[in-house]
Amino acid sequence: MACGYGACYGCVVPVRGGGYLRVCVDGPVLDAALLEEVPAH
Amino acid sequence: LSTHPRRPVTFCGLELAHRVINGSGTYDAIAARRAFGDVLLERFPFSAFVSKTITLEPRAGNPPPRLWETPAGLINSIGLPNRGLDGYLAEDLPELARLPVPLITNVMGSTAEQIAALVEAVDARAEVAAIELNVSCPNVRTGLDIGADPRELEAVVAHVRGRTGKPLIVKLTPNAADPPAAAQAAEAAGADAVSLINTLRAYAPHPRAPERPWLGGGTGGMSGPAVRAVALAQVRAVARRVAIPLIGMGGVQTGRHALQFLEAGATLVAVGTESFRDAAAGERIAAELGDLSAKSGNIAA
Repeated sequence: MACGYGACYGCVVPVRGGGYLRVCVDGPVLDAALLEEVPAH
Repeated sequence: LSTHPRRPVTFCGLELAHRVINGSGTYDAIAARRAFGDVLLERFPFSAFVSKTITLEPRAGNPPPRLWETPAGLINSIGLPNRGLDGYLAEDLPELARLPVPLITNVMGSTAEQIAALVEAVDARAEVAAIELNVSCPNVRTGLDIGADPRELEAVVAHVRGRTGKPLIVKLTPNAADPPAAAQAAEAAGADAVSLINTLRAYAPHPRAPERPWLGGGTGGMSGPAVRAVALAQVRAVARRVAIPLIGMGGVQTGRHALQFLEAGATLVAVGTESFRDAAAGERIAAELGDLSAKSGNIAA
């Protein structure tokens, strides 16, 4: 995590259908149905 | 903060209140205003605002993970997410125009034609005071970063120079055999200034599977205090080879660090990674620099 206020785009999670949400400002609680399932990194 | 008035400076014809600006992509003025409120418009931390990199088409950015911390450094592989030129002009620019400081728009393309199209479109907007070219982008033809090859860089800058009367700043790449030669090439092609350093190419192995990369983008770019000594060496070397002004950056955390860049030959200093730790860092660093300069009677600010 770098900035915590939406500036660095470092904390993104992938969204179903493409694109990303920022956990810091779009979350931290997100509707799981929106999110792409990703294999453990 | 500072008890000393900050001395204004003229940079490429722009009147700036002090010498500290942001590095492209390290400060999101729109997100900051949303997070911290309109006080940001009254007390903006920087004397000019540099936008994140804008490309012709929208970009989603790289797959996560996008960050890895090193001792005194940060490796990022963000991948330049942006709305694309049309989205920037329609949605971001009106908001950025409300900032109380001149706006520098940073653009990147992978061919001279793409960069020319970006420069022409941005030149047409009165809200933009200056244009910065991010040349740390692979040329689609050669696969090499445009900014790493002085001849290629000179050709690209010459191709776009005539498309704008606004100050044209070339953001040099440090991932090159000879950054001073690239700076000379930019100057010869008509650049009004150069900025450096961009991030250093870096790699972080996955902590639990060291045969593969941690970052979703494979490699990333390193910034933060760990790169400051490298940045100072490059700024010093470039300043000795060109007559155009320099924007120096790389690991600046304090006014003293900023002063080191000015003493190495920079006219302005940019703050980057430190703004992630403290969004008000720019204001503090400008104040510290003002105090130091007043005390020392030094050139700087």
